[in-house]
Amino acid sequence: MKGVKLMIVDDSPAIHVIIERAAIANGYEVCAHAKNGDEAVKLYESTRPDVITMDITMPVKDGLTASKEILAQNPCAKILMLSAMGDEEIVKEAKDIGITHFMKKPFKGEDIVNAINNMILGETGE
Amino acid sequence: MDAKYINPFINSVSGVFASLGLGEIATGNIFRKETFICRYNLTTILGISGSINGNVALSMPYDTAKKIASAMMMGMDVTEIDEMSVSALGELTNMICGQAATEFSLQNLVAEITPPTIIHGDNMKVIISQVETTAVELSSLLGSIELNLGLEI
Repeated sequence: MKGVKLMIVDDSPAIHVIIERAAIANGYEVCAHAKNGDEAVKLYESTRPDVITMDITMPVKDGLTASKEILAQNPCAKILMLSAMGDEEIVKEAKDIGITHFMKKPFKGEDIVNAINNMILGETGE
Repeated sequence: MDAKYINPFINSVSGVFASLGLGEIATGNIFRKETFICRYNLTTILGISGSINGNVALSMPYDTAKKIASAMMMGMDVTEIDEMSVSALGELTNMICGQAATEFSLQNLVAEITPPTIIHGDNMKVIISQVETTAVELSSLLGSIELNLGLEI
């Protein structure tokens, strides 16, 4: 699926590499990298990605707070939330604010690509 | 140490390796150490608190660490242990202990985990605590790993 603009939000440099390499191999453009929620909100305004991969636990501003602020800017923003074991309560809150796509760590790059393809095609993902 | 505390960690290493496409894990010797000492080049250490208290460490030679980091990052060339490979190995440790914590919760045991610390160098001997430790030799296609469990139960 070519031409999809992706923003990667994660405080782990390795996760950026895993997602970016899979994304580029599948024809996506990675238009922004953010290492915390605060950077993500600012970069969203300036880059307007089609899809955001959003980690939950990050310094400065967490993924749930950043998602709320991004959805306030654009209620149609497509956010794929990357959850870890023990994030179940936060995932519930994320569903309450309208996030419908989640992926549990650990994942492979191809899992992310499949999830993003489903989001772009408008399917509900879990 | 009772197998009910060891097996969730072995299962989670196997599960995380499979999920990340890193291949199968084979369990080798399980033995006791008087104190929590790791001797391989690179050791990732993570603390656990709650119903189970102590430290968990994955210790491995440089060659294994580089191969794991490379495989996790979709074949990226890893020739040295740098910020990127440390990040990958930290994620791996987080995922393994997170998955073990979930398995413990099914036994009604609480296991909160801390962010991992990674120490590496040549001719290293890391003494983490004086707690008696159970070590599990694990082998994978990417090399050998020693899982160390220094838990006060």
